[in-house]
Amino acid sequence: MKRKLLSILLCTALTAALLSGCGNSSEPADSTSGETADAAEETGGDDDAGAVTEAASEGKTKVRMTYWNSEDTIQALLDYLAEEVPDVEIEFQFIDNSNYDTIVDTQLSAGEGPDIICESPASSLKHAKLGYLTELNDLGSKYSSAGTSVYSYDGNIYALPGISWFEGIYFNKTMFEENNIELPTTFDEYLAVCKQFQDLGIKPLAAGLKSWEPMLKNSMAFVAAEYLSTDAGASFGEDYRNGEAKLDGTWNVYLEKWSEMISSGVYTTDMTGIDHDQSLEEFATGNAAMYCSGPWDLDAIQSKNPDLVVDMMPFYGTQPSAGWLIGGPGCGFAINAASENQEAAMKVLAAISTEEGQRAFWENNQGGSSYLEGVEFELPEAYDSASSALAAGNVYCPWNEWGEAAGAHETYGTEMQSYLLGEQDLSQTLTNVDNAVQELLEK
Amino acid sequence: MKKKTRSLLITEIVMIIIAVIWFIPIYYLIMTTLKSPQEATNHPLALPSSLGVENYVNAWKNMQFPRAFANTFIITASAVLLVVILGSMAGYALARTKTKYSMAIFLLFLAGLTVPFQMNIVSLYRIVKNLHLMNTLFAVILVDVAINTPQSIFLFKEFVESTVPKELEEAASIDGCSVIKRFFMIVFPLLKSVISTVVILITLNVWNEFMTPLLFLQSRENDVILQEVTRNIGQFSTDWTALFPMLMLGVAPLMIFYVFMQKYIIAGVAAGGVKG
Amino acid sequence: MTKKKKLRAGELGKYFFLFIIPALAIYLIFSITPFLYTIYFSFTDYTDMNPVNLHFVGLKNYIKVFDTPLMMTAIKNSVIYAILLTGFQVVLGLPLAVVLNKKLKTKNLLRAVFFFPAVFSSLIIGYLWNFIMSSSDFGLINNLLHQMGLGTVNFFTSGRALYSVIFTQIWQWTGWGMVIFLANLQSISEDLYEAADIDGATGLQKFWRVTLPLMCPSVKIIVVTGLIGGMKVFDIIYSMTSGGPGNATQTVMMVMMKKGISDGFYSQGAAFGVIFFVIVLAISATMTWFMGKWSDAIQ
Repeated sequence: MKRKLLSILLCTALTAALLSGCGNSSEPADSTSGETADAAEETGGDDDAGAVTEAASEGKTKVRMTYWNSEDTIQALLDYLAEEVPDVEIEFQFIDNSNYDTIVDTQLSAGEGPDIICESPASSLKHAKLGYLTELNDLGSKYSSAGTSVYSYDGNIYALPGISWFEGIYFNKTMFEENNIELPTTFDEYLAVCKQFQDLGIKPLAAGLKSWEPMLKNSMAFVAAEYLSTDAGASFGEDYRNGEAKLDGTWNVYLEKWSEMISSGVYTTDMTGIDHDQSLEEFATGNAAMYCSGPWDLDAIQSKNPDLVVDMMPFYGTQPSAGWLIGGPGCGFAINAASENQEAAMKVLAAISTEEGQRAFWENNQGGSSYLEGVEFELPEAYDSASSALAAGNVYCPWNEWGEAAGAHETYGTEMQSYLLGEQDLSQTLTNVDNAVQELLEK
Repeated sequence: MKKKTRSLLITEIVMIIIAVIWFIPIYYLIMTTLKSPQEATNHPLALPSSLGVENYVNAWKNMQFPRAFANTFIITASAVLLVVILGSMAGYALARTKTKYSMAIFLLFLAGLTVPFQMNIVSLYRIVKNLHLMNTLFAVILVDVAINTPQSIFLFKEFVESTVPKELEEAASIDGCSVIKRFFMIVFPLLKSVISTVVILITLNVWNEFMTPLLFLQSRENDVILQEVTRNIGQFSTDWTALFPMLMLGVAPLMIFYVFMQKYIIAGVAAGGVKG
Repeated sequence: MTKKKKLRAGELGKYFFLFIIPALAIYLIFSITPFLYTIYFSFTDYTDMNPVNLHFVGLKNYIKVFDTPLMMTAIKNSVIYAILLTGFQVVLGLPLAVVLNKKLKTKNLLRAVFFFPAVFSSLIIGYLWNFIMSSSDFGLINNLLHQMGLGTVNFFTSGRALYSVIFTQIWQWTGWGMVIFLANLQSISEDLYEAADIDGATGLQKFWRVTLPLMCPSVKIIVVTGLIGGMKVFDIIYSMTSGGPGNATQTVMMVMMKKGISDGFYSQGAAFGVIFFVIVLAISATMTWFMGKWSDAIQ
């Protein structure tokens, strides 16, 4: 806060100087003095203003950390770290998701950047390959391989898996009970439930299909249940990232079946005119029975309608099972190889890799689970019906296995939109994704 | 004659009706900022039943409005200032000097009017990075100046050629040292009307420029109003009516600017448009 | 210009450079250098995975652009956007200017209202219309349709989304065109209309015979700047559709930001940029030639 105020004051003062400097422009030197003022203002406006703060914090090592979620999603962890590692001061920097990778890439390639970086599996792989990250094998060995495998490259671990994220189907419990509708246990039963709601004149599933995300997750969960979790499909992810398998020809059968979501009118073309927030509102205000999302939206749902009784069910395949959730390790904490504060950064990561550290992190991400060996948390009530899926470890994020092509999941999502809108058939849809993946793998 | 007045009256009424329809989206924006979601859904176009400013207070806080405003203001003011000073100097020089070089330089600037800077974002990104200007307001200012200079040079050159008499300058002494002084003391004040055109055009351009901040400003402390709007709209899944005050705050500065300076803005756009 | 006379040194002499260098320096560093670099990068294998050791790869990147359906869609959409927006700006803006040039009592207020949307950022206009056109009950248009007992209209299907975006931009930019046309109209001498009156011309005839031919300069400006500006469209797409649904509203700049910057295909982004430049150049050359023919024809 102090820093912000300072830089604002500085900027304002310098602009004033700049303005007055050029107001009486009569000397030849003036155009240059205008530029000098600008150059000075640059120093005031950006993070170099940190120099002032640095002097103020006596003796503490400052460690800069970037994350794509805002400070309050990790507040308890930051508080915990401030107490646990008193000689390190963490400067938290929030960069929003849409340009996170671009920004971090730029900084790293210039030999700069944060000391601790929150990485996604794809970006950690890329940065590890380019030699931007320090290996974390010692600390990494404290975590289960389910968490660290997506952050490994060439036999080394480059990031520590954070509390997991997952996405399932929130449902309006009251609405199910009032209409005597049983929870489904297979995909076909799920469709039958949707039909029952449709017959009652209730929208079964609220979905903001203006975004490419809902159909990506929903359809991939089905493929995970039907194929990727079976023996036949277990190695698909690896084959795919090695360029030895294609979606087209492999996933078609499963997605044909899943397309009943569209033919039965659960997903409609009208939904492409609705965005995420608007669909959340529909669900929260009782205008739809179900809504696909994860823990990050629970607060919003409950604050919009405190009386709503919500629960979450997993996605199902055609066979009875505990169900599946889409999810994986949240951010992975990595250390910048070019950082001058390696030691301090390592201390912070060590503090995170304890039960207390994981608990503090979990505090703001309730429902997720820890990958640290031997650490388990209780599940909040709102995820009751998903508990067996979670207990079975049926949390899966197919594109995390795509290696450098993981970013193509967005292409998958947008291509599915075109498929929903009848622009192209399934084979074309999958071919387009295959092409995007191949291009990324060949880069 | 009477028939003519009547047809004028009918035209006027028709135009007023069209203007009212034209204005609905803006009216809707303003009204929704003051409503609850229920009220906005049930009576989207009615006047709000109460004047709650709570939505605005929240939006103000979430957007860190004073800071974002300051950044936007610094960028716009500095860019406009630089464009006016550098552009008028260059435009004047190009108007008064007709050599092979000056013609070539002028053509080089003119080319900038057709070359879309957007085609160069990849290399521009790298240049800014190599100059260590990434994530500084200065980067946005300089790039915005480079984008907007060609048009202003063109306007200044035209204006100097057509309206500034050489005799005036000849009256002043022509000793070397004071060439620049002569320019700022004698010529610059005469450029008032074209300066106001340039200021208005560049202010609108730079204030509403989204791509350069998006490319070059990454940390939140440095971001501009438009970036705050996109950030918050992506992030808050709260009341959708809470988003409207953010949109409103996003446009408010220029809205106020327009309401008070409307005559000059329209005149500026017309002058810049017809010549540029 | 037609006479070949020897250029004589101006009165500024050597001080010419003192005046020109500040502007020229910034322009060279931030406009010309990037332009040359873009051309250079477009022939290399520059990506985020290969940032330093660049190799010459010939026309590979250009071939790739033409082979990528997404990039072709983006060019097509940008062209449709530019042509329709510019067309409507002229077709609606010109009559609007003619009417508001009459002696109406409220003409200044009316002009201010029609110009109003042009002051705002397209980004915010996009978010606003996003709500107005939403398929949900919160969407103003669908809400009104529902209250009238009509069905939902989805403005964001693959077929409609681009035109929905264009519609909002017509709303936003018609006033801009109007202001420029008005300035042009006001420069037309009253005498010409009086002469036409004496000939017994009707209002419409006067428009076709007197007004339109003399409006050539402003029409030319709106058409050329509108087409070039339209090709660059980014903000409104970013906020309204993000290029979706599917790839239905991808434009050149959206793809360039995504592929060329975010995904790290730098050289391909550069090649796409060069192709984009050639298209813009071709459009402005064609339009300048075409408008030149027009003004020749009517004189």
